[in-house]
Amino acid sequence: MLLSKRLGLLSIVSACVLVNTSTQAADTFRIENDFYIQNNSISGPSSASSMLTNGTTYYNLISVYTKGQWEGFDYTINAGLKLTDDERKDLKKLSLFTLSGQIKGNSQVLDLGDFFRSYSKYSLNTSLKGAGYTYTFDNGDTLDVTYGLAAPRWDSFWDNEVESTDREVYGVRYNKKVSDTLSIGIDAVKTHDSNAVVSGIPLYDTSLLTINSTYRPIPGLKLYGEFSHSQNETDDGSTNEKNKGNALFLQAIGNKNPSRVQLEYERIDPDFKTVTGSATPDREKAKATWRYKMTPKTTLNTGFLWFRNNLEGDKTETTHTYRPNIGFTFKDVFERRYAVVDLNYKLNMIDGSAKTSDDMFDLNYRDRFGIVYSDIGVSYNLYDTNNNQRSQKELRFNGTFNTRHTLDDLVLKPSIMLGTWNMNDELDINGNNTYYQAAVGLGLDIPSQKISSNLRVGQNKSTRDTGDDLEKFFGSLDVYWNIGKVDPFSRVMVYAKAYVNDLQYSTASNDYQEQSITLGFKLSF
Amino acid sequence: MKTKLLTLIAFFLLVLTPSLHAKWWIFGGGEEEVGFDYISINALSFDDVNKEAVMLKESLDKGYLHVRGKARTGKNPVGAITVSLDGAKTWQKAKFEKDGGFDFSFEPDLAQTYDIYVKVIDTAGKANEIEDAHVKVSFSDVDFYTLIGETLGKLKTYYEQEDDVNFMRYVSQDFEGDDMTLERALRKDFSALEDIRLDFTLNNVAMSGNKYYASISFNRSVMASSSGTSYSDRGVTEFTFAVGEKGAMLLSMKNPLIFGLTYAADIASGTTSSAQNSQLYLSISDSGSVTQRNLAAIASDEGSNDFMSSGNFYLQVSCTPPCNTADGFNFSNDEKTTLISESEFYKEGGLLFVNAGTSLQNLGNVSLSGLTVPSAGYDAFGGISCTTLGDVIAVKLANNTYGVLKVTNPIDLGGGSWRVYFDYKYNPNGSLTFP
Repeated sequence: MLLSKRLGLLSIVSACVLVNTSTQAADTFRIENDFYIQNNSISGPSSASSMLTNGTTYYNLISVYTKGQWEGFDYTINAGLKLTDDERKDLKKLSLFTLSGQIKGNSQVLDLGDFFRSYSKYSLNTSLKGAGYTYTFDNGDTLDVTYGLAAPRWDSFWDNEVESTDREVYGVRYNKKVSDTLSIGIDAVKTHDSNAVVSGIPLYDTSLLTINSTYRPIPGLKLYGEFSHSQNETDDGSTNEKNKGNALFLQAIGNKNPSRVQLEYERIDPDFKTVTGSATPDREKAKATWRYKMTPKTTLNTGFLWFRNNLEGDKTETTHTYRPNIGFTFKDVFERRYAVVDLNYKLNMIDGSAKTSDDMFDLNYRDRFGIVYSDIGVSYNLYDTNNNQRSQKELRFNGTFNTRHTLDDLVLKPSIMLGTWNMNDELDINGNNTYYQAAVGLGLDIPSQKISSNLRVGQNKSTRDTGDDLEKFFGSLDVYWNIGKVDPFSRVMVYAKAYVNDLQYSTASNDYQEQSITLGFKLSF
Repeated sequence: MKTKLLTLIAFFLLVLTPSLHAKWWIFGGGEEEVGFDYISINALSFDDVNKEAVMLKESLDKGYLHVRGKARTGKNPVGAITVSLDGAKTWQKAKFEKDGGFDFSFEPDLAQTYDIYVKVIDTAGKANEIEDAHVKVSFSDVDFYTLIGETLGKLKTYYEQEDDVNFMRYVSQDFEGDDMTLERALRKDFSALEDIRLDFTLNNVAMSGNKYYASISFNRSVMASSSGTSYSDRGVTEFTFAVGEKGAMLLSMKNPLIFGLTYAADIASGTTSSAQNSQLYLSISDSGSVTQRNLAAIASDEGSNDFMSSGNFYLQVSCTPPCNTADGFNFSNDEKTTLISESEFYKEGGLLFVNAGTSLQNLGNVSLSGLTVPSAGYDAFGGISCTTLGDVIAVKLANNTYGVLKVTNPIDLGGGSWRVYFDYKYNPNGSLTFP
């Protein structure tokens, strides 16, 4: 049954693509090709730990974009193929990574193949492979009808090696424009799962009926409300459970100089389920954020998030989570033109069977001293979880210093990056861990030839009370040459990349080394 | 903890009160104020971007940008509506209707950045505050799949560099898993992990209106900061993006997550059920423990509030059955027991025995840190010796959770009697790995 739908779907999309491309000359026709060949060499006793594929592999993306007119309609088509023999990049040597088309008239839009549908937060907000049709009435009302399959890749449909759970999605939405400031939408979405391929992930059948409304009572103020009812069936392989639940979302956004205020309230029943929208079941949540330009040089950013579970009291305990934060951005600090300071404090508090209280302090300072630009960040974090789980102090520092010099046709961009962090736990679980990183970089650009390059070498080292210490040396060189127009190509770019990594652990049998060289080009025509 | 919250609120009020002026509370304009109900550029609403947007050339309508919207002027009719493309330096007239609807179209040069302001003036000369009707628009010269690839590449780089500040600059203010939760999760990920390495390729991309979609295949390896243990996994996952100041801004992510692992159940909008996904995925508990769990456990949040417990105890009192009293231990309650019936395992002389459902396995002299215990091969009868210094005994409980004991000090009291000191760890979430 589903196979016939898949074939039907592909036939419709392919037919539309072929009809469009064969019957009319396109206004725009573009082909992009990105190809590279990579040689990796991995050595050392633990070479299996490397993420690279040993030896030589290739990778190629070819995409076609065309746009034109057909029988009074505008159309666009996108198609792309991926080819690679590196199984770490893709199990398949050849795959279709995008196929989409759109036909658009004055009041009608037909999407085919890959398309994104966004009805509302809870009902439908995802990408589908199928067809969607939207009709806009003269009064501004819209009607949308959608059918598609939600799958992470095209060959999930026909290739067992990369298959996924089949999820069919049917959707219809009518949006009534009551006035210029008020609109009300009603949508119905039904989904059906089959073909379980991941152990423990259940199959769902869901039906959602959702009403949502946007109202702008005064300039700068937007009110949004959404209510959704879900009837769902969950099949975990051994039991089949039917449930129903509701979800409510209310939002107010006030955006009027000097403030931007956002208030939200959400309540989602434990048995509410959506697979094409976004909702965390069993949650009541309130959120407020406020950005306030106190003076032309000082901005406040603050927010408060609270949520809890156990809405129906069927759990032994209710967990409350509080996440407030406050931060300031100061410009022209110390009357320095380029100086910007960000100061932030965040609290992460969880109050339930386990209690967590984390304090996070951040200071970031960006400035220019003569010819040197600097970006310095310091953060101090206190992590505390009760029941002897964690009582940890963490200090982090990151600094980047870079400058830029022009010598005739050359632009030199040397840089230094330094980083360190120390984490100290009063308890034995995490112990005392320290990390250092130092790296130097040199960018070399030749703007007249559209050549840019970047060389980076460095070392990082981490030590800990228990477990393996690591010392890593790394180096990389990237060179890009954007040649530009070379007949018959509208754009040609060639590039070369190389890097080495040498990882040495205190347990020598974990050591390994990597060398990688990549040569590639990008063509457009 | 509540005190901390109250202190924060008090501090907030104390700092702010003196600096506030009369307009601090503004929440939208007034009924009579001159302004706009809405403004959009092609399909992009001013409300949905934070004063800045990078658009794709595909989003142009036959090469044109249309600035459209609805002005509101209170009692007086609309006098004029003008648009500036150069940061309010010069103004051009827009076509408008009596009801305030307006339209201004132009053919942009894609190499330019347009600093767009929209101004409405009523017949009495009263104008809107133009900062409220402002957005800076530029164009990306790449196609949308290159844009998505580049954006994901930047997110990956900032995550590998443990730079949460720059990472969050690519996250939409409407991020579905909540941006405030994501930024805390990132910070906790970075405390728990080091030497993060990610590699990805695009499997599928889609674009409609102002939303983008990407499915990727990824490979990942990390090192747990506290134990030095290395983990790796690979799989398929999905992202959505919205148009914003960085071109594409992260809007949602599905499990298996590659960013924000600490609060995965809160952050992920669904699960990618693909045969390509690994059996186990990297997972970080709120207390910073790094483990690997299956997707079902990660998606359902099962065990995420359960933290690995650890500590030490000793067992001495023992008896020969039939009797009721012997020193034992109960992982589930995290306590030493004195009645055999209340224990999960107990000591007889120099041997450990179990109650129904519990089984044991001696793993020899290994470290408790970074240890991964086997899921099979356990002895359901017990009778495992616990008198060899350094030995580690793995314990499997009836609910398929695991604990480990390390003999740290076995003292022979003579006559077959022993006092044995243990260090222990217990994973209530069923993980086989002990950081």
